[in-house]
Parts: sequence; C-alpha cells; structure tokens
Amino acid sequence: MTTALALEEDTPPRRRAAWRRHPTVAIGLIILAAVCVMAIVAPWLATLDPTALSPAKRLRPPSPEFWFGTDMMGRDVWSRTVYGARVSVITGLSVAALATTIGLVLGLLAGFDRTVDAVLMRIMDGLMAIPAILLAIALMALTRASLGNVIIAIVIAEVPRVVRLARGIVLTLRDATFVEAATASGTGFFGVLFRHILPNAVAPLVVQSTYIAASAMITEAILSFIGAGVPSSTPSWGNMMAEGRTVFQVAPQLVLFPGLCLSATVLAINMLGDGLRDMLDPRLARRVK
Amino acid sequence: MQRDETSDRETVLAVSGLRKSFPVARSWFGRHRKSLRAVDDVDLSIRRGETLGLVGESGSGKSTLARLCLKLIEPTAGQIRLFGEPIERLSPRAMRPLRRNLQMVFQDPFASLNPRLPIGRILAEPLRNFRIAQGADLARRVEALLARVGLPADVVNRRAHEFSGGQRQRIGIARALAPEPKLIVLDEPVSALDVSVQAQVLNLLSTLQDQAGYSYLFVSHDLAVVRHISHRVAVMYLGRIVEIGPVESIFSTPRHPYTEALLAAVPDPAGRQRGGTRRRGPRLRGEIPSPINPPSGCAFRTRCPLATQRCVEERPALLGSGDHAVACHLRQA
Repeated sequence: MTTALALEEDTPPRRRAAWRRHPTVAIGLIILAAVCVMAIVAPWLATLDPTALSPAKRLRPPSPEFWFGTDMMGRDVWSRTVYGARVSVITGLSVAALATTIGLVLGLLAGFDRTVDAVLMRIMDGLMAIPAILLAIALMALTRASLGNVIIAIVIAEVPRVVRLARGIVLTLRDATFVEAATASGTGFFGVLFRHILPNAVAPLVVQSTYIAASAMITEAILSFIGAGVPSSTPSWGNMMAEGRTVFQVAPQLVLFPGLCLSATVLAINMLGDGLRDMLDPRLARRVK
Repeated sequence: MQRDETSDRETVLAVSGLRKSFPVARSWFGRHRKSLRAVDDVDLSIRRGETLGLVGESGSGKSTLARLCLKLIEPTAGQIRLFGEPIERLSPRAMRPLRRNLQMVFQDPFASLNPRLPIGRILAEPLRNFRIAQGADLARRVEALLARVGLPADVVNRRAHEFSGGQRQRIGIARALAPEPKLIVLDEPVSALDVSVQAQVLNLLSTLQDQAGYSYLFVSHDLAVVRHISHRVAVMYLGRIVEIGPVESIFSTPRHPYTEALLAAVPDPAGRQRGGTRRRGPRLRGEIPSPINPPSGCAFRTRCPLATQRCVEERPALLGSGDHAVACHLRQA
C-alpha cells in the first residue's frame, strides 16, 4: 500500500549492523537452529532405532558403537537424545506460538472492554493462583498421555501470564498520545489497532514468547520426568532423565546428555529473548555510523 | 453574550454549556458515585484566522476542554458546533471525515509520534485517511509538508527518536497541517521545548497562520507565550472560564481577581529596572481546590481576597460589554 513512498521498515545495512551489535541473538539462534535441525533430521542422525531393546548391552559407557552409551534396557542414548529433541522443539514452539496468540487475543479483548476485562482477568487470576506445573499435572491427570495433550496443558498453564502482559500493554498503548494523535488524524479503530497498537505490542510479546518456549520445554521435561508427560514409548529428554535417575551413579550419561541438551536449548532461547528485547526497541537500535 | 457568536458565519467552532465530568469513585453497586468536573459549563467560540489563547493553572481543565472541542473525549453535556453544525452527538465513525477540519498538536512531541513508524508514514496517515493523496502524489505531499515546517525531505525514513524536541514538534505540526484543517488545537505545544526552540516554533505557527488563515486554540500556562501569539485570551479556573477578551484588554486591564493575580505572578524584570513598582494585584495563595468538591458559588472565592457572602451563595455568570467578559460579581459594573 505504501510502496510508492519507498518507506521500508529497515534498510539492509542497518540490519547487518544490528546483528553484529547483538551477538547473543546470533549465538542463541545458532544453538537453537542446531537443535531444530537435529529434531528434523533425527532419523538420519540416529545410529540405531531409539526404541530397539538389546538387554545384553545395557548400561554401556560411551563407545564408538554407542556414542552416548546405552540405558538399562540397552537402548542407544545418542539416538534417543536426538529423537528427544523432537518432543522438546515441538513443545517449545507450539506452546510459545499458541500461548502468545491466545494471550494476545484475550489481552486485546480485556484491554478494550471493561466487562470482558473484569470476568476474564478474574479467571486468569484464578489460573495463576495455581503453580503452572501443578496445573499442567492436574490437566494431564484428566487426559491420556500424548504430546498434543501435554502441549494443551502447558498452554493453559502459560496463557494467564501472556494475557496479563498483553492487557497491560494494550491499556498503556490505548491511552498513548500517538494513538490519540492517530484518532485526530482520522484513523479508525482498526487502523489504530493494526498500525499503532499491535506493532508496538508485538516486540514485548515476542520476547515473552521466547521465555514461554523455554519454560514450556522445562515443564514438558518435568511432566515426562514424573510420568505425566509424553508416553514413555516416545523418547523425550524428560522421560530419559526420569528413567536414568535410578541408575545415575552407575551410568551418569543417561541423565547427563539429555540434561545438557535441555539446558543448552533453554539457555539459547533465553539468550535469543534477551537479545531480541534490545534489538526490537527502536530507541536502542541506533544506527552504527 | 458569547452565545450570539454561534450564528456568526466567521465562527469556525463554538461550544456552549460544555461540561465534562469523570467518575472518580464508585461503590460496588455503582452507587455513591463521585465525579470530577473537569470542564463546567463553558461557552467559547473561535473565529476564522484567529488565535484564542486558553490559560490557567495545572488542573484547571484546559487540556480537557481542548480535547472536548475535537471530540477526542466525549462531553457529558453541552453543544459543540463546527461551522454551525452540531457535532457533539456524532459517533466516532461519523466524526472521522469532519476531523479533516480539526487538528491537534500535542504537548509532548515524542509521545505523540509512534516510535515504530518512519516519519513519512506518520505524515502520510492523515493524507490517506482523508483521501487527499495516493501513490506518487502522497510522497510529494509529505515532502511539501516537511518543507512547510522547515525540515528536509530526506527525513521520511527516520523515526521519532532520531530527532530533537523542536524537530519532533515540527513533525507534529506538519501532521496537523496535512489535511489543511480550519482549526488547530495546540495543547501546550512549546512547553516541552527549550526557550530558543520555543521562539522558532511560535514563529513558525504565526507564519503558517498568516499563509493559510488557520484558527488556533492555543492552550498554555505561559502568559508571555500566550500574549505573544493570541488575538483573544480566555482564562480558565477550575473548569470554568472566568474571563475572556482581546489580548491587549486582558493584559492591560484585567478584570477578574484571578487574572490580576496570574499577571502579578509573572516576573517582570524590565519593569523593576525602570524603577517601576510591582504589578498591582493580589498574590495567589494556596492551591487550586479539588474539582471533585468545588466551592459553592464562585469557584475562585476560596483564594480571592475580595470574596463576599454573595460569592459564596451565587455563581457569577460570564458577562461583559463588547468583547471583554468576566465572571465576577464585584467587577461586573
């Protein structure tokens, strides 16, 4: 619509400068990309079937044959770790996307309508009174173990935080002078919403969504760890650690490798979030001359 | 009386009996509501090509009145007429095309510009909304607007944080000029700027008015600025207009004790050097009373050195001879 004006959002040299100025984003993205690739090409990366049992070779230490050793049922820990990335990545991304979208929509409704606000925020307060993990466990107790149900349970547990943030942002932006100025310039409700409120709300929500992704991965691991998560037939970093816990002193690799992967992924996401927060602030994104 | 002017063909905007109250306390059952009367029964009109200065202390309702005139907030009661047509009941949607005639410049130039949008997009917004320009013409118009406020054309891709305060306010003014409005409400447009920049912006506003005949409603608490730019001045106190008249008449022969006090409070180093005495007039003591519980009768009586029993009992009307009107029992001879 505005092409004639040659008013691009960002010019290319500026964007390159931004990358150099935010190395945390680069490092976070690289690690995260590696984990995502690992999840996607798991069948090729894995040396063995992650569910194949070979009781004769259980609890082997890392070796050329079993890179990360084997667990108490003789399954290959490397292959299971690689496949476990799938659960974590899918959980993290879907929970972040779903919780942020639902939270934004509900937050907008609450921010613009007093009645909706009163009802919705009391429900959210109620949900927030229950620790996210307990809520997810309770929800999982009601359904059968599956990745989809785990995601839904974590989304329900995470949504109130997003709603609160989105509502606060909307309330602030709604009364911002530039919104008033847009109204005075003849911009209608939807113009104000899509041109002025949403673009300014997206940055903090994107940052928040990275933390949600990280926390969702941890919640999934905890759920799997206590046996309320993905079915034990699907390898996940959580249930691998849970199973390895009993033989931790003999075979530390069972807990070590999935634990390292989980920590690295969560760290990468948090670094990405921190960097994005700085990068998406137009006041901080100064031009490098 | 002021009301007669509503029929005047030269009148751009006229308000009468305008009120705005904000609910401040509400019990659980919606009863026992207290309200704050920010604007209380105001009559005002702005003629073509004229600058009406609106002065008053903080909390006197100046900014609320300014926003009511543009229907950026809805009035509780009263009439607003744009070229004689009542607009107070129009829905936000019906109001939109009329906003072309009524623009506003805000006090904080940074807050009034969307931090994510390049300046070109901000200036294009009113042009597109009012279907004034499209395509290549739009870019030309944006450049012309920038030129009118003294900014180079190559700033269109920059964002608000890359400009100085004075430049931002120029952008704010350019946005207000975009639809060629008849009335521009200026809400303390220079109070956030350095003194040297203030002068530049004020001169720009005067030049623009000479060129295009805009009417200004100039809200300010700075009497020197108001004296410099206004043709007429209205003095507000606690949501009411206590005195209104031509600028020379207000500044040379103020009639309301509050106006006298305001003028006396302005430091006058030049006068002192000439060995002149301090301007006569009462000194203001205390604070402006709460608009939640305004005093009975005359709003100013709690701080007025001349207040009588009548001021407690009876609210003075805004009356006067000719153009100069005052709301004071003691000064309406």
